[in-house]
Amino acid sequence: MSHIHIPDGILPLWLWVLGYILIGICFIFGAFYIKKFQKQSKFPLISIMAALMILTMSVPIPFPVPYHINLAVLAGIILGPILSLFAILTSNLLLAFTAHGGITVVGLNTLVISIESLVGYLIFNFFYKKTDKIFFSAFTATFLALIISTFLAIGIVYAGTHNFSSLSHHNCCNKEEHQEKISIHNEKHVESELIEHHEHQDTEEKFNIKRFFALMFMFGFIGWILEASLTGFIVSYIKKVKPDILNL
Amino acid sequence: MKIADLDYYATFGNSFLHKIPAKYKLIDAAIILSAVFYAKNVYSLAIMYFLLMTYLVFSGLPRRNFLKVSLYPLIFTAMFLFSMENLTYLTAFKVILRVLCISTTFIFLIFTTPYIQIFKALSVFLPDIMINILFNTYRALFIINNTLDNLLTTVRLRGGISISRPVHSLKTIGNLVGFFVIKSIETSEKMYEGLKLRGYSDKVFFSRD
Repeated sequence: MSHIHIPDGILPLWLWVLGYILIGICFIFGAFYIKKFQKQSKFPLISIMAALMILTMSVPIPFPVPYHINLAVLAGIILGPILSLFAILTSNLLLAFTAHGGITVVGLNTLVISIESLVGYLIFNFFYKKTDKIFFSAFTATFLALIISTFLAIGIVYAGTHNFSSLSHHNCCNKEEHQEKISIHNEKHVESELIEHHEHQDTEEKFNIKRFFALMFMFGFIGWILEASLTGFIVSYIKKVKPDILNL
Repeated sequence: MKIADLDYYATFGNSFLHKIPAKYKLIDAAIILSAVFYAKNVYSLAIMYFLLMTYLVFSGLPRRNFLKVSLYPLIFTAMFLFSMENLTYLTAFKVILRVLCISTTFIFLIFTTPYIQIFKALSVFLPDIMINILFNTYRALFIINNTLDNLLTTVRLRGGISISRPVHSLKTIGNLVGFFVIKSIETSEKMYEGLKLRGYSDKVFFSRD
């Protein structure tokens, strides 16, 4: 749920291009890390984690909106934050082709989920070293990482849509025409302009961040608990059966 | 809809769109994407969507499943539109048509082109590492999908998941996914050994066909 489910065609070009650029930079660092530390043998493991994420992401849990878990924190714990970036990018790319998330927002989605994975990894290690309680550490790490990534996703959506009126009005007339109309309008109705401006502001289409946040929080909160509990149980099971996977 | 189902349509479909090489379909998708972004009014978007739907009617693709997948982003578009103040019908239609045009285009691509062909076309500008992981993920998807299906059947048959016992059910699912993760990692190790034995050198090569 933390990733941006906003489909293609809503976020502006500069934002999603920026997402691709940032993820490109992270990718170059990641590729350099793989080459330097000879991590090529981890490709099948990265692929398996990506496949796991796709399988779990494409299974919606019955809920008012189709909710799904994404196991990003688990990927972070098992692969580490750098290698998990590749698993997250792969799963986002493959899912985008099936209209899950949008192809233009792959970069932003990967960025958000990678940060979720990184934060989860750091919090998990911190709490596990302090408390030695595996379920508690995994639960808290996932829960906090999901909150952070959801806020990040909301922030990104807000950054791209707070001047939404440009999408709906950009085709009313060209720039010169618009300037001309304004000057004529100013000459004729200087006094009434302010009143009209206020009226226009009242009826202007704008993105309501509070309403969006309420919707995200309403649908997300149960999901955060669900995913955090599930990650807690998964990590506890792995710790009991094959602890070397967790690299603790 | 599962990726395996989409792959089935892409691999065994026999429409005229299946015969077009993947690179042309990718170029076509990029053109439509740009056109949607620069479309000035709702009518041009409506015409574009109408044309895509006309393609669907004559393509011989399974229409119901196609629409089911292509309309999926509307759920999230609705969430976005609910967050708008003073929203007009025109803007709402514009947003919906934008979303539908792009999603339909990509569903056309994925319904008519096997993933392998897409990876091959993408390999021209994507780095080797990415193509490598994409190829291995695609392979792994089908291998572990069967394991997951079997595990889910086993749990259901033994009555492991029940709404009346949510914590117990969650723990069962957690254990199941945990077991699944361990199994998958073991599979990945075997997969890597198998690939190495067959001369895999961290690079994927595609045949010309």
